[in-house]
Amino acid sequence: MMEEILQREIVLRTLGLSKRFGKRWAVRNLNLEVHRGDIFCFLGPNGAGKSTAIRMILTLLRPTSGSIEMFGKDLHQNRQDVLSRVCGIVEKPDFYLYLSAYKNLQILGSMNRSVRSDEIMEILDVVGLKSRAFEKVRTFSHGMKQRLGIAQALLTQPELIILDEPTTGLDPQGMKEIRELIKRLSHERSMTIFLSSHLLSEVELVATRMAVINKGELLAQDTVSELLGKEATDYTLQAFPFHSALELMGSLTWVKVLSVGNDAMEVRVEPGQAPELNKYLVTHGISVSSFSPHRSLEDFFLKVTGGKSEI
Amino acid sequence: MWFIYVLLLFSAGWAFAQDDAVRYLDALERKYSALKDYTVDVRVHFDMEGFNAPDMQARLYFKPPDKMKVESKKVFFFPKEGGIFNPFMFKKEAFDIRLLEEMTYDNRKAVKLKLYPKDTKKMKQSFVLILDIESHQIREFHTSSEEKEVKGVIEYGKFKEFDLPTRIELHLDLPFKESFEMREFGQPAAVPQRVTGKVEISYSNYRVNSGLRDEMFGSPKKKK
Amino acid sequence: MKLVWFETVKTFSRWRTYIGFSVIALIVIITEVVMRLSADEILYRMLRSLEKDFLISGNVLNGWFVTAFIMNSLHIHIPFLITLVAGDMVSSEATSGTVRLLLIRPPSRSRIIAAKYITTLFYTAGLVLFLGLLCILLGMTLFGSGDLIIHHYGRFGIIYLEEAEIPVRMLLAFMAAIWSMMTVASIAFLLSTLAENSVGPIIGTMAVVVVFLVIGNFPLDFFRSLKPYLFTTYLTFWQRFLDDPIPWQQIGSAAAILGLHSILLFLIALGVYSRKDIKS
Repeated sequence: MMEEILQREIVLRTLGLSKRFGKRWAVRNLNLEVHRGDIFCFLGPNGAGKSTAIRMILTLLRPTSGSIEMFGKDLHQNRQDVLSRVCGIVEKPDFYLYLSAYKNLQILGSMNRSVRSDEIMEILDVVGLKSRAFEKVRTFSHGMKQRLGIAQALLTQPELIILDEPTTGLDPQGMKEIRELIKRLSHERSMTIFLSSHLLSEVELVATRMAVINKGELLAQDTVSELLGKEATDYTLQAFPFHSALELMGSLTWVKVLSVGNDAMEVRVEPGQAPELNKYLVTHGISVSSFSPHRSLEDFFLKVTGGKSEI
Repeated sequence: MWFIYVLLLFSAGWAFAQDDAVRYLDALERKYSALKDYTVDVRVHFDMEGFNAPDMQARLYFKPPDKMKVESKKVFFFPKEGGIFNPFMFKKEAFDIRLLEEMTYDNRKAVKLKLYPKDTKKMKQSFVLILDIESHQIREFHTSSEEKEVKGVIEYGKFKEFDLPTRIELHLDLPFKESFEMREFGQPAAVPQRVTGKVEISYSNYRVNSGLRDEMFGSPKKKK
Repeated sequence: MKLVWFETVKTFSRWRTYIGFSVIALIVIITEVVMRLSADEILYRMLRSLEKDFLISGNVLNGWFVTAFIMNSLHIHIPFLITLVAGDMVSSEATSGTVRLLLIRPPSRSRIIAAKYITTLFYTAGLVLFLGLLCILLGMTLFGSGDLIIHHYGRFGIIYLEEAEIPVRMLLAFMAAIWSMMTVASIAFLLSTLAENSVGPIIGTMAVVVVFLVIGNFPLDFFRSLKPYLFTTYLTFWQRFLDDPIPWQQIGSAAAILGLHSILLFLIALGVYSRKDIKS
């Protein structure tokens, strides 16, 4: 019950948020709602207006119109109070390269609240940079800077972390580490995370709720499962006995087998019928070892952005 | 005929006057012939346009014919002409002398002499002196050249057997060209200017004939 | 106060900050050593006019004179060294991208910009004081102390300042020099809030200073009439503390004019930066 109440609490809300640069609207009439505990993904192709929206939320840009509420308060009227509960990284985390990781965290963290030395070392430990604490950031790799960026966000003990494309420029291993860190923060520290991305796979893997933006306008916003449920139709199925499962599938009019491999097949089902198919196979003595949506988010994204996507 | 007579009369008068003038300088020289050196404390008060300075103090050493030295813990400016009492500079051999006027000065008999240097390469300016012929003191002097003009009035006191200045008041009108080292950025280009005004010098604590050695005056500075 | 401290730590952690100090140290050391080696020549050139008519004794070429001489010579160069840091103070955050971390913190932009401005003024004061202290200490070591003989500001004349009163006058002169340089720093600071890199503010500030100096010193009546309205006219008001008597009224008005310039420039910087969109 308590969880439900918390889930319903809105920590970030934008109302008709718009930003115009000259004659071009970068963001237009954006209405977002981020609930406490969400890993909220803000998805859109490059130039869709994600960064502009995030910059407005973090007070780097002044909205042309509309308003931003955080924790139920107007951001611009309660800037100091609100921003003391929020932290973020916009685009890439740039630090004072001539200072050590420790000194960077001390300076940036102390702008929110008093930070103790042991707190800084603990946070550096969390992001795996404790051993490099006193080295100048100039010597850090991009992945290390990204982790240091998350460290500076954590140091302020925020309730909401806003990350703009946190995995951009990282190698697969680095991307995985950041994703895991995000999940861990959400689960272990009950932080609400708002992240933007143009990588569909990333959203699939970490997000609980999402919004899709293109050309500055919001196209969709809901839980990931809800959005996937509405649109996901193609699945990869692994079942045993495989041939029996294949025969059963052939008798169903609302299922179409797209391709067959050695131990898996690609199938397309009518929207919302995936649970039915699973249940049907099981009741007919088929053991389903894997039934996962296949690039459903990408398909969804392609559809709502009119085919303008980047993978 | 009367013309020649008058001319001869005037020539004779002029010759007598010339003799008298030389005699006055001679008397002055004799009066100070026993002065071998002196040391004196001086205090200088400047009242000159364009030269703001507090009163300055120094010890001055002098040895005839023209050796001089100034000792001061602080920066010290002292007018060269007229500031240092040097009765030996008016040697009768060095000048053509004209008696300009016999007069009374402070109720005492005095004469006004004009001294033209014989060697104009060595000395460019001429002098006008007012001599008290009762006590053989230079009471006023006036020197001028194309460039500058200095006028001085001297008051005396008795130190041992010598009359030496207790106060000299100088009136200066000097050319002055500032050097670039002293000019700051943004100043208009320096043009020759004149320094005019009054300098009052007080003299005290004379020590006369204490046997100052030549070495203490050092060798003359070579200038680039 | 904490913000000012952080800005100070950041400023003094960069090598760029020490360029000014190094250049000043180099110039002062070279100048004073050369002056020491050429002391006779300098004295001769300095006093040749006076020495015709005056007997001059005492230590004329002393540490105080050398300090005033170097200050006179460097007052066009010091602004350049100040702009190196002042012009970089805000723009460097944009160049390095740290502005995106800095401005999303709870402290308002006004407080952040004020802290940066105060740090700029600290640096300016530090640089001028460093120049002064180095000139005096090295000057005293190489040339000793003495009374100060100096040109009267703005008109023909020589001023003689007694040794005892020079330290206070020099202190006041250096305070005034700091005050002047703060105006230059304020220009660089304002330009720094407008730019995304430090080259623009540095060149821009120097261009303003040089153009104003040239206009103010151009020997035409039209330009002369503009002179009272140019801040550069008042930049050397520190020299007035070496005048005798000290022209307090003129010093006061020059300080007020420069102070108003500094305040106005800061307020513009504050206004501009508070409303600025951070796109970098």
